[in-house]
Amino acid sequence: MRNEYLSSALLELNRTSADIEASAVISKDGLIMASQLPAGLDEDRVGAMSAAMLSLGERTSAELQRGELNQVLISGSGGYIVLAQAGSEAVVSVLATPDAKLGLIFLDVKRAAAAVEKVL
Amino acid sequence: MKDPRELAHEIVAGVVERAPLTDEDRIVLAEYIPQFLAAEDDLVEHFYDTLFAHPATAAVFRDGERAEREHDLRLWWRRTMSSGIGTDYLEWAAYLGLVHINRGVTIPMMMAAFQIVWDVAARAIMPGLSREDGVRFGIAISHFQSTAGAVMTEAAKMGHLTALENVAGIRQELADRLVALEIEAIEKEARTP
Repeated sequence: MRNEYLSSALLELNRTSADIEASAVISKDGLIMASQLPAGLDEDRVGAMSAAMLSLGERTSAELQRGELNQVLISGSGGYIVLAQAGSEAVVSVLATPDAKLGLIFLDVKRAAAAVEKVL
Repeated sequence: MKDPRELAHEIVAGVVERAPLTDEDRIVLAEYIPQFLAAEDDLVEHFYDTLFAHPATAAVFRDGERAEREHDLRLWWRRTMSSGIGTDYLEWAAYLGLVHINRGVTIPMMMAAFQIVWDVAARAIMPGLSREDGVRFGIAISHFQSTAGAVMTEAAKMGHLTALENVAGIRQELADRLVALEIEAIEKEARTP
């Protein structure tokens, strides 16, 4: 039941913007809890790498005295990756197109993370 | 960050219960402490002659460092013997496993160096033993060596994992998962005709 709620939250997130290409909810240990990923992406690797990036972001933010982590943004020539915490034990990971309006994406990810946190 | 000695204590506690070293082994080894102590000069000389004879291990040392290191080894050996070759020794081995990472000492180097010490000590003692005592001693020292080796190996691994967690926030479970994924990929490739 929980997985269905999580999948539904991700489906909702992907529908909010055409610029969101994929999304996933991942445990802090790197396990995929739910995903809406395109074919060709290895779920296991996406999960582990997202958790590692978020961990590094958290530690960097604390070490450089920037407070609690809000999100991690990775910008590549093919688009963006946004990672946000969903409670203390999960991460929401979103892949967006290079033309995405980041402000809107951040807002959508924040909402989705709050929805996921409620489910967890 | 966790204190290295506290970490060493945890490592030994985790390893010893799964290791072959028994109370009987500790008792047997303790009987030979006077002979172990008498082997100190040979041990120190042979240990550093061997390490300085190999480029990989010699490179670990600074110029003119040998006298200082010999002094440290003597102190360590006496400390080891005074503690009865038990948990205290193993915690010290774990501590060495942790701090030697910073000097570029690899696990094989540590294991080889450890073997040199105990080979010299065993050579000094075993020729004078009866067949029965030789077997008891041989078994005890073999159990001790494999236990201490496991402790040092675990300490070196934990040193890396702890640093990764402290610096990058990557918990051990996640680090294990990242490693498992890589191993799965290697296995998959190996099975591909």
